[in-house]
Amino acid sequence: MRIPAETLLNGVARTLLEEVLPHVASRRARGQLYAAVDVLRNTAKRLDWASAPLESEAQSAEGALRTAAARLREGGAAALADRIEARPAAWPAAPAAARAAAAREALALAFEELEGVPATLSDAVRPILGGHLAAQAIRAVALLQPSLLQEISRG
Amino acid sequence: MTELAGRLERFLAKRIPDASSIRVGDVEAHTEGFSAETFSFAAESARGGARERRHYVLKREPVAGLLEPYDLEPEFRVLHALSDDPLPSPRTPWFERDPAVLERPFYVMERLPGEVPIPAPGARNEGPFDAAERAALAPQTARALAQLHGVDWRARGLAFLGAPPPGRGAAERELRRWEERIERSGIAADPAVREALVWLRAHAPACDECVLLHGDYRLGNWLVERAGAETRLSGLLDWEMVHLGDPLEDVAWCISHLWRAGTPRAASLVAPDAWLELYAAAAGRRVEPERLRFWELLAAVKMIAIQMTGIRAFADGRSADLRMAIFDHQLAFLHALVVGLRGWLPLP
Repeated sequence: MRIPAETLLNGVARTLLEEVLPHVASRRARGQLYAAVDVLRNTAKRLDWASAPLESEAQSAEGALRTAAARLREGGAAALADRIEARPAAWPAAPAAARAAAAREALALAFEELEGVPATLSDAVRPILGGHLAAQAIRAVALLQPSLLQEISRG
Repeated sequence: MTELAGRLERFLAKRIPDASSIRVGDVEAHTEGFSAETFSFAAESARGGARERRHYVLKREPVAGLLEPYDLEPEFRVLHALSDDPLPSPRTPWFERDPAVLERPFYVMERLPGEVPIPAPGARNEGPFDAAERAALAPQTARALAQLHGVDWRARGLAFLGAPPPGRGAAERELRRWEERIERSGIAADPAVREALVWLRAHAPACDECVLLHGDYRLGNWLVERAGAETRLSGLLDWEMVHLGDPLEDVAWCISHLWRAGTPRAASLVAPDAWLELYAAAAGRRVEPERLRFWELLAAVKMIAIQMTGIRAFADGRSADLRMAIFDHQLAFLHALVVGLRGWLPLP
């Protein structure tokens, strides 16, 4: 999730007031809608995204970066290996969202830096990092609920 | 809607000077599109002693949205230029930029028959069509795209769209366009996307032809008249991303996993290879696998860029459309697609 929970919930509350409420005729339904807005507004400031998935992501990224660094060192790219391996130590310990964001940035940088090493070596290292991306994609998709896209489109 | 009807009556009175006592009714806002605002309406008028009733669709620039910043004029000029073409694009007579008319620029096109099938999996992951409809539509969709790519855009006065430089120019220009949109969103791109961008920069393919591209040719932007084996592709909609470039860009977008509606079939119609054969035969053009691979990956990155633009518009409060908020969790699917296209995850 890239939008902070507070921003998302306040946005939902705004949409309910501006886009939905004007089309609701029933007094009871309008009351329920106002209550929903009240709940959202008062929850928004107290919530943050669950930390466990973010911590798993950072941990998996760190493992992949260390394995990639070891392989680079074996291949004679010691300077790059040192840079890649040093980054996780600089990640913030908390909050989990900041740690996961730092892990993502370190991965992206590693992929970009691999362009500077011989193809035989980068071709061997890239799948190590790619393996983390695949595992992370599976973890992220597993958190999703069945899509309501059809209902959203049909209205 | 009554106020909108009144404004449209005044607008049409100026644009159809030989018609009198114009009455606009059945004004309806549509929710299918994620971008420009769309309204349909009927206009009844008197002409030469007889009354006639015509159906139109109006597209207006939104305040904020997925493809911002908006400019509907290029789209209008293309549709207007193609109004007499046999392609099933809607006849599009009018464009208006004056904010006094409807606050924001808009154009009006004639309403075509048919329905827009929703590109969602459906209850049994069967997609929106039955077998007879799929068999009828697959060749029509391939032929229509080949026909569009065969349009002589210079003769039609569409050079204003800007031809890319020859060679790798088309690929590099599109890559830059979507990379810039990702940057402009101000949202950090996932490492899967950053890695894909690295690969795309290194593999931009050369192309020696430059054709008119729809830019969003896919299930969800087709109008279809369902009639079993006689099912007909009756319209091509949403030309907001029209431009000039490599024909395989449209091909890759059309067959992308993005629009398979939960099926293993391109556009939920036929196996991707079968659709490519239909297109190649209709266009008389070879579909080079390596070129296609670039455009398939860029298609996924493009969708991510579009969704990130929507997320930014929602987060900033410039759009209250909650459909943009859902992109924040939907991005997980797109990241998985990118990882799959890069070969690290099996794709369905």
